[in-house]
Amino acid sequence: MQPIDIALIVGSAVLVIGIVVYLIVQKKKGKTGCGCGCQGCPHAGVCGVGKDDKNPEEDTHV
Amino acid sequence: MLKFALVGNPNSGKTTLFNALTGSTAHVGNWPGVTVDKREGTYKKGDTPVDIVDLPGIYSLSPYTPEEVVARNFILEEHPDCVINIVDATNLERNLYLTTQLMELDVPMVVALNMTDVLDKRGDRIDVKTLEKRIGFAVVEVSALKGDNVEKLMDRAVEAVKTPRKGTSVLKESALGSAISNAEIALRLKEVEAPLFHAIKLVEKDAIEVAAHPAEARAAQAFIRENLVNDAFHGDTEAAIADARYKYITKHFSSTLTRARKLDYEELSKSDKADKILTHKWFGIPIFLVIMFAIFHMTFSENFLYLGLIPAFGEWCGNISESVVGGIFFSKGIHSPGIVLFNAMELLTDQIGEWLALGLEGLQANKVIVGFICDGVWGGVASVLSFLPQILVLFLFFSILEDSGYMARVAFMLDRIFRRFGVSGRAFMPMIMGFGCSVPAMINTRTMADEREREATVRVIPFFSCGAKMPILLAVSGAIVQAFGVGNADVITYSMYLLGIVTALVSLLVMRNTTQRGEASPFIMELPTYHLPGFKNLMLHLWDKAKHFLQKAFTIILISCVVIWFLSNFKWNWQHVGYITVGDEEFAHTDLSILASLGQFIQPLFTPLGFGSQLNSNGWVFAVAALLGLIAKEDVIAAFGTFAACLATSFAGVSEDGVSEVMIMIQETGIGAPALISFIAFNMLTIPCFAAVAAARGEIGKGKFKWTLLFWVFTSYLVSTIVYTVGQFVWPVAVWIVVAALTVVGIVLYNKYMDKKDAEKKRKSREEV
Repeated sequence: MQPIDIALIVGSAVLVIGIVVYLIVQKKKGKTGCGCGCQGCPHAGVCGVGKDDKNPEEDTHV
Repeated sequence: MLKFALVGNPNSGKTTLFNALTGSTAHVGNWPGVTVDKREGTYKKGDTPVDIVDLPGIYSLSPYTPEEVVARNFILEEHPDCVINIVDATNLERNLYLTTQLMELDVPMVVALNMTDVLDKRGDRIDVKTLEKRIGFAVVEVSALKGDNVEKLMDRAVEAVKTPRKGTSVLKESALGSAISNAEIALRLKEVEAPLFHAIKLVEKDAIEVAAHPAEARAAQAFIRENLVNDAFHGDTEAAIADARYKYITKHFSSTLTRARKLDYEELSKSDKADKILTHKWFGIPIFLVIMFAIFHMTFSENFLYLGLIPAFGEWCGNISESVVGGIFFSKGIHSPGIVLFNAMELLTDQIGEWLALGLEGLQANKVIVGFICDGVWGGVASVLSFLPQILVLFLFFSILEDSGYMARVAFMLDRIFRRFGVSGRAFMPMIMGFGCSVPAMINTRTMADEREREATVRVIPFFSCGAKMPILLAVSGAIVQAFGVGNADVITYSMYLLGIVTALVSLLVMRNTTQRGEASPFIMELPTYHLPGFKNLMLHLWDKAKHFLQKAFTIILISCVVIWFLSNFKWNWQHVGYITVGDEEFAHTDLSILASLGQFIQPLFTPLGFGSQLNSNGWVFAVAALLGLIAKEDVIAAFGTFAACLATSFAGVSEDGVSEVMIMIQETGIGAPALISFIAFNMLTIPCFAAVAAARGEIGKGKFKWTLLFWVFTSYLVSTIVYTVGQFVWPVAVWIVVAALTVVGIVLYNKYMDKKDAEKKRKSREEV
């Protein structure tokens, strides 16, 4: 294996790990859970707060 | 840090002011009910930073709607340092109705008189100084859209915080004034905060207040019964108080408005005149459909205005398209703006891919690593990226329709039709939001009062094709046109959007007559006046869309491409699949890969849909792509991008634009046009991406969520099967008609049985009473 191959593999691994870490950090910060444009949306503050959390009485009607 | 709350009527410009103050890019729409929950930002331009809270639009502080509850609870429980009341100057009287309620609270207040520029254009004028004197606190003229005077507004608000304020009321002189004063004294003795506000709500018989202070409520009602003579409202104190407020506003505040000419109630405004045509009883919906088609034509057509149908012109376009630059603008006709931008983007992504390959080959890198970087990562990401311009063009048009106020009219027009399907026009707004992203759309359903109607709406929102599904639509429809010469890409895309809408309506009809039985709730919405969309607002919408698309492409999609490449290039023993040589080109032996074996295992499941076992040995790619779409819908085309490099035994140097990659899939799998349409339908209607699934689970609740997942799988499977079988063999149309007829009979019988059961239940409960 050539040095350039090792460099490319390490570079790719760093990039992938970096992206995964970035996604986890973003999620932990609560910035975006979906990555599909709800950061600027008027409901971003309630994203992830489910009905279950607000109303423990669960209706099992289909 | 100081905390200021923005409070005002729906569509009065609160979110626009919020954006102007905080530099945010929160979604602003020209229809009431855009904001359903509070949102926070920071104003940093003053001496000290101020926390700004944007509250949902409300008409009163009575807790009748979810928005009113959110706003009221925030003001009463979180004690903002100042309330900035946004008043739409073009609707002064109605907006000041809320002001008269806010001034009853013990909180410093400032009025932001918004949209005065519109008033100026009409030649009308408000005497701000007199209004300020009569209201009793600062009134500042602002234009939230242009950002005029917002700093002055904040200065006045900061100044107002320095002086503690006690609530004042315009009702003291009314017939109920004594009852209010007595209740206020009683609450003051109980050391209740904001006693004046609570006293008025007690007299109004506000349910929350009556429950909190039952003794005082009884005393207040007894006092009213004994002392109120000539009660024109027959004991309805809420109506009496509303009447007193309006009378006060008319007498003391409205006189500050001077109109350029006397208001003629018979005379139609420009908006009214436009509405006479655009919301016409018969022409309204067809006009909407034509507008939507025009948008799709401008975005997706390769034959703009169908000029290529003129033989001589078509030939001329064909000749010009031979050159690289000519190919961007012409093919069989003139390209629409969306296609021109798509082609330019394609040229760019292809060039980057070429430079990348040349660079790595020059460095003599291993061919597996070159394949990983160029085909696996870049090929996948670029195939999704090339659709960005078209997505932006489509959303530009949607934003124009929304900002102009037209979309609110469509909700009003569709109310009549939606009612037949068991939901009100209110459901249209979240559905329209669903064209952008299902997550905020599902959360927006919280403004719907009827729980079953809301749940049914949440379930059908993913059928309104979101931006993430667009690459699938565009790439596959583009490839169908190129490979089979069937129709035009714009017509196929438009038809698929309509298919999603029709599926949603039919599903609603079935649900509202079976599991989610109920009548559509009443729908009342204030129609905003038409106005030209603000350039800044439009650009903010587009920037937001582009930013998130790019963010997703270089994070989730890129990671998915890496995983897909690994699974499609390695065997179960973690050895590379090796290469096969065709002519001068070498291709990975993907048939031996982990992904191929997994794909071949699940492939038979998709046989009724047309992309299962009937395809040749490479047909598993469609089954795998459909499953990958559950992570993020863009992954479907990204996966094709990665597979294309492995499967393209006859397409050397393929373009990375999604369409070419689907062409390779067609070539290598033997799939036909009906199966491809079925593939689009399945991806559009099946379980949406992870984020939307999580949002639906949050909105619907754990108990019913499993049924929702089943509903999505069943509906997508059924519709795709119908599309494929009818498209491929035609005769199954008779079978499906019989199935539909039996379903209708079943629903009618079920309804009769349930009606009987309900009547029996009612009779029993009456007897018990």
